[in-house]
Amino acid sequence: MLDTFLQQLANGVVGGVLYALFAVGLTLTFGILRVTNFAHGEFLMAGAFGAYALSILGLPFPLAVLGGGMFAAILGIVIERLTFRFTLNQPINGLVVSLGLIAILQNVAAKIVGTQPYFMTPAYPGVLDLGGVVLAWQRIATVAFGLSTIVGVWLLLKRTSLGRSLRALAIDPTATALMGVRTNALYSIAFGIGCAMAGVAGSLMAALFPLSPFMGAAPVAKGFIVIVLGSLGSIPGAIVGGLMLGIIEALGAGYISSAFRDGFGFVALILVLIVKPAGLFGVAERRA
Amino acid sequence: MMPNRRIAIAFAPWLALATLAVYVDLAGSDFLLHLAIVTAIYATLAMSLDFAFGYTGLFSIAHASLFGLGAYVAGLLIAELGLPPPLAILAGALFAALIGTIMVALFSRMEGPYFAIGSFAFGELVRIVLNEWRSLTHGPMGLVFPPQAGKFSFLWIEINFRDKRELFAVVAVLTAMVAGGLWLVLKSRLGGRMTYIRDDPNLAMSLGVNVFRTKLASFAISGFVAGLAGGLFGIYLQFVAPSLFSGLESVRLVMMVVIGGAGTLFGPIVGAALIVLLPQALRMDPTDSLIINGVILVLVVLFFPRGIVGSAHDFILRQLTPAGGGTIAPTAAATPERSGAP
Repeated sequence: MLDTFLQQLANGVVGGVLYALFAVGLTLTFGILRVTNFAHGEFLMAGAFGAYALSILGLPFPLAVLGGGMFAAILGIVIERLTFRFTLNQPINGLVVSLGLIAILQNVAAKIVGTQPYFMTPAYPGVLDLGGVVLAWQRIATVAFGLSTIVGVWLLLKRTSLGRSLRALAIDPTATALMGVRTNALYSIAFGIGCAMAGVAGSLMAALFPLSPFMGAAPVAKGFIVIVLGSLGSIPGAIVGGLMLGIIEALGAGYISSAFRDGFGFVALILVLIVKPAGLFGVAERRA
Repeated sequence: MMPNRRIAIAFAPWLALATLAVYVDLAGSDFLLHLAIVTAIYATLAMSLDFAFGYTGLFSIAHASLFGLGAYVAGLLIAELGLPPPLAILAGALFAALIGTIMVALFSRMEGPYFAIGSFAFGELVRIVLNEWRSLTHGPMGLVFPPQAGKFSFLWIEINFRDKRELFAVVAVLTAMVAGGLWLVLKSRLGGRMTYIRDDPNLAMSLGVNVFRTKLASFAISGFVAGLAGGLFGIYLQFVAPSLFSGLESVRLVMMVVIGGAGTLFGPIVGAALIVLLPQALRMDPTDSLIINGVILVLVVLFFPRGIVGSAHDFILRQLTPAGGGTIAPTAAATPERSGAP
């Protein structure tokens, strides 16, 4: 009984770390570029295929993950320069652009790789048996890589001057520009970091789940649940929200209904929005 | 200004559209009728989204789900209770209106992108429920409408929904009624209040507009129309499945509204026609057409944020203004306005 619970909890944490990783990137682009990026999942997909290609070429898993993240980041920066750069003052326009990007990126990917699923061989086979609770090494690696990426970005934001500029940009773009910060480059960097995190999440997912051009659709829904649960624009909120969602889903699927697995998050989101429209960690001013 | 020319220009497109519809219904081939029916139904759906988004500023990504809900309720009422199709469609539309209103009530404090995210989650939830409630909806297999959904007779009227010519006549008349009805609402005081809320909710509130009630009313109308379109689509296909209103369907819907011109009522009709007909005209497969449509959407947002009809309207107005005649002040609810819409 307790074993089952701990097993569900462990599964929830693995999912939760992936959600958190993806959602931190999403909330970063929301906080800094004010883009509600519905196409964030497509960068996850791009990263996953990037990592897949690199692992086929024989690169070790950590390098493939890094490469997947970089591929997503470069793609993101190019797209930011072409589109979101021009919608900074109109959040709804940015949202509509991101919807268009979903259609473009998914179907361009489908043209390149086809629509059949791909499977990546796990880099770390075998399981860790903790007497009742069984964890695949690949999942443990996922948690390790995911957490270190989140911590890395966190340190970047909190401890470096680049991070300070980015945080300033999120609070007040005009004042930041007046302080002599080159905001134009920063927008690209922020979007690139966000996409890189999606790409890393995708690369990690690639070793656990099948890959397809449409694999980004489900995570983006989860990503929005997470960042609204944790308050839009808040990074600690996204981390806590991600872990919460992973655990809610694992326990809900285990104890209530596995068919409704994807529904629990939406129910939680709607409940939170009703009670606290600014999210669990939110201040009222953050809203609109 | 020259009022007569302006009126002529305002009515010319509608007249052309009506003529086209009559021509297609009388002389169109089976394939042309199919395209016309699908275009008209999507045009109705796109107008309903424009009503909520382009005029009240409620960016709903749940409209595809309301559309699906209308189709499911209509189909279930015909299959389980044996209701005549028109009543079932009406009930489906009312149910979609009710669900849409509940959603807006829940999310009434959220604006712009926040409302979009909330509605996205709500729409997904509706889709998951319809997908998983297998005993009622048959899940991903979809719901096949029973034979009695194919025809309707009342007094001397007898309509065979399986005949494309007869169905298109019904759909075209309903689309025209929806367009006219929405236009009248937009001209009414409710329409005025809606645009105030879109342009500046705080100002609207300070002027004594009941923001909550206005949002509810406008979304109830919008949801009703979306459900109506869904019921008609179900009757046309004699089938409904969750895949008919996936997330990508919501994206297509936004494309129709924004490319055609949000906040222009007529624009979504043009947008729907473009999205439905362009792949057919260019003989593209769905993958290519989604890429092209995505590119068009992005270009329209970046370069013509008022959409095809909005930009054309602006252009014509500029041509009509005598040289040196000063600026054109946007007036009344009938004239499409600039902000709120992308």
